[in-house]
Amino acid sequence: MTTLNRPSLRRRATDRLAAAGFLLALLLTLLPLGFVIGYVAERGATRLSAHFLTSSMAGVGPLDAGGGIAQAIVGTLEQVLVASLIAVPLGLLVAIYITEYGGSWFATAVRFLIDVMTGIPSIVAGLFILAFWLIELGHGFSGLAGAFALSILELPIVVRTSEQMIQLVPHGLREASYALGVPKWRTVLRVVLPTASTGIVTGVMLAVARVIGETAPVLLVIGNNNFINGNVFHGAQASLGVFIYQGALSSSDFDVDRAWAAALTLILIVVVLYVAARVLTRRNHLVRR
Amino acid sequence: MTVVTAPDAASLRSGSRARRGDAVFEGLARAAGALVFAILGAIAIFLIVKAVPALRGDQANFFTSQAWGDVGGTHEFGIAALVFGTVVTSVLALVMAVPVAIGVALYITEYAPRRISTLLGYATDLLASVPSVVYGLWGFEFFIHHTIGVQSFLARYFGWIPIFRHPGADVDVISKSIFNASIVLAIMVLPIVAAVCREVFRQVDPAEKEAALALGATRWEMIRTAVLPTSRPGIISAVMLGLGRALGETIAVALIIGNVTTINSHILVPGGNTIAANIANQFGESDDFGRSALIASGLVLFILTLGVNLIARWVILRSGKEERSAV
Amino acid sequence: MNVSLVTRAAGIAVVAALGLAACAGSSSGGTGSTGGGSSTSLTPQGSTFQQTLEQQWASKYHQAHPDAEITYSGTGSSAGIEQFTAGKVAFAGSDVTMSAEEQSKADAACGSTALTLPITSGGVAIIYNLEGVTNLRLDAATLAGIFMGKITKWNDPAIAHQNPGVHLPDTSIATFHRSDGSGTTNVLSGFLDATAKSVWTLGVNKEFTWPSGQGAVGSSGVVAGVKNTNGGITYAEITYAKQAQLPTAAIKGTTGGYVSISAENVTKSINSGFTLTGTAPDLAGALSFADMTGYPISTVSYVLVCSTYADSAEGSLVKDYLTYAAGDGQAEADPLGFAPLPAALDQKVLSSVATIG
Repeated sequence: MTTLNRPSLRRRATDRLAAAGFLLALLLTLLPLGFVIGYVAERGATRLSAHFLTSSMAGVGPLDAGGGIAQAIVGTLEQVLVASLIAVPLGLLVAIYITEYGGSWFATAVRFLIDVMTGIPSIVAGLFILAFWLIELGHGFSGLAGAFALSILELPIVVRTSEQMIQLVPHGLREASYALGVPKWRTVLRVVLPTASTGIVTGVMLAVARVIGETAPVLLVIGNNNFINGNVFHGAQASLGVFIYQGALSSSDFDVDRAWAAALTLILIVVVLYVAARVLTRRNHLVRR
Repeated sequence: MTVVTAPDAASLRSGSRARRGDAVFEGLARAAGALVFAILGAIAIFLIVKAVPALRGDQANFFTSQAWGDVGGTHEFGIAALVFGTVVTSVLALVMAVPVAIGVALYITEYAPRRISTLLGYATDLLASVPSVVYGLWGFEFFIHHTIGVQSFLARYFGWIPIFRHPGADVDVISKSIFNASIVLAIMVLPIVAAVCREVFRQVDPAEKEAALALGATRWEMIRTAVLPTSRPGIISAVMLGLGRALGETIAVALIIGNVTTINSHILVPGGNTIAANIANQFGESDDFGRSALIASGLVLFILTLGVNLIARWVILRSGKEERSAV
Repeated sequence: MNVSLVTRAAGIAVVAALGLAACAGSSSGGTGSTGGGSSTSLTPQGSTFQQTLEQQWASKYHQAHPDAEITYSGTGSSAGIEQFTAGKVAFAGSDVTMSAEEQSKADAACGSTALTLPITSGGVAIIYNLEGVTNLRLDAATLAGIFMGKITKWNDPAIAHQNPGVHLPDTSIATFHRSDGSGTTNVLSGFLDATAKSVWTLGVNKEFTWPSGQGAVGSSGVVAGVKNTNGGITYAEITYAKQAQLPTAAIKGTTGGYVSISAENVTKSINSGFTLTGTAPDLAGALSFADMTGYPISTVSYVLVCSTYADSAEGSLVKDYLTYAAGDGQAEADPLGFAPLPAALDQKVLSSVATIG
């Protein structure tokens, strides 16, 4: 009876070393990141409260301990919503185009351009909106300008994730539909998209989570507002990222404290979005788990 | 003999109505693609047009000058120091982050028990979504104060290595330096690279792995021969993604780096500036010319990230994989 | 689970956001026309130097007038002037007066003469962190030498000579300067240029390529740097020194002796070193550091306003707000590290504000 040779001592030692190395990598990852999150949680928790989340900085000066971030939350949510209203339908259509109609040179070119768009540095997107929408076209600060900048960043992410999801739809489904004589457009709308829908929604949520914390592009174009401005189309708005950034640089310790609480809020929003996306993915039968 | 009856025309819904629907839909999809062209074209053209006045009026050499003082006044500016700072901080960040990211990803996929693996996977994905302004805030308030010890240590005992040399001032001086910025960037980029690598490693055909193990390979050898080689394009994608993020990172770097626009290869010495951070810091106090100069630098940054993307695609193409991997 | 899920989710999101916006936005402004605000909301911007005080004024004013919503953004004097000359903001804060070209653009944007009015004054503190030393004295030439990188150790004879009896350690001096363009840099360089030209060769500007030292973003950046560096020194508004609990140096200019920074000393300097160059109601002026008898690194900060506003409601809000700022608001200056305007100048400002329509 032959027995399998036990690997030599050297090979076993290398294996052990490698395993140790990987464990070290895990620690090197979890420790600093855990520490950062823990630090933010600790610094921000003291100030975080229902009142903080629902009141604005109206009437709160640099020497006052009170105040809240309602204006920043409203601003961020509205800007991200408008950005998504632009990026999601457009992104879906583009994804459909490059997957379902993908043969031509044009489709390859579009794919390439989406790649290019993922590489746009966020500040350059902001700079573009500043130079074009604000200076050239003469509009004032507004949440809309911020939304435009965010949509430039959100679009390629939506396209990419949607494309992946649509590609995962088994060809058999499409072929069955065609065999029944259903035209292509109906197939896409009634068979492909619904099947991929969970994945697409997940992708959108992740894109939103990515974009919701973007500060640089928004910083240049939304101005600042201590009061709640519900009108995203007109007038300066606040945003969580900008609020944090400006708070960090303030001479008032109260402003700094508020910035930390806002940072914690931002992380919590991202976590909620992320967890929701994950829960949704579990119901997605297209994705191999 | 069975007779297959042709489905009747009505139920087939073929014919001109369907064809029209198809044409409309395809037109719509194609229009969306064209819109992408238009948007990107508009961005590129507009930025180039806006950058031209400064480029024309630059009294110094745009590519080799390090000056970025009062641009509006002196009309002198150059991107040498900015590009240096951008590239060095990003490369250093990746040098630190990528081995760790690959290691973590491999740990999650190959070593961790199933449930922990899923949990860790979620954790890395989540960490990849943490907004950079949070890292900036943390770095600004906490990190830069606590790396003095490390920096002095490096300067004292490793100062004979050129990049760690800290000439002149006492080594106990707090340094908002390239070193600090690189570390914070590395921490930021790590989960992104790790998350993508994890996806890539998960897609490896289990049959290949089992084959290696069946032939008597240790786990490490299996990884080395079955997992890593086929994952190379994906790893490169991940690295490029991380590099792209690092190059364009604005807020965190602006708060942490020394913001002195000079080329200095001693990374512990205060100083360094990146294109993105420079734009964020300067645009408020810039006049038309200054803003035009900033846009010019923004274009350079864009071309840099574009170049990185293109190189990645080329490498992936060369290694034979047609599909884009995992990202 | 199909397309309707997606549309349902999207619909809920839209409704939720609109609902949130509607109920939260009932007190918002944002339906206005010109000048970046409606009749009850203003979003002025400009100088970061006066930012903290403007924010305090805005909050106090809002408490007294709950309908008015004013948010001041410290985007920098250049940005403020630019927005004002483009007619995008109702008024702007600036540490410097407008150039002739900017003035004519502003006049065109306003449809009337644009006025430059001093609204507050303050000093630029020299903030340092040196173990065991809390009462440092520096004259202009030494200060220039430090920031030019010529004087590199704290126990340099030039410093020791002015500080008899103070034990100065053999520590290196770590200077921190603003890496973003700043009005504060402008003031410091103006002072050094006027009083120590032989040593300070960089001229007067908002930013430079400094010969030595570290840069940092914002006043909080430079002060944070000093806070964590034994031997650090920088220049910033006094509020930051208070926040970081760091001492400030007494400075000797051309006239007078070593003066430490305080509201009183700053006001004294503005009285002696600030002369009006505009014709009333315009109150632009010039600083003469060499003539300041109080704290020698002092400056005023202005607001740029239109003398008549197209939107009369906006005009009356601006007028009312500035009447408060120049009036009772001056009492908010000292606790925040600013100095109230000297009485005579303040009276002139109030008269000019009264002409805004």
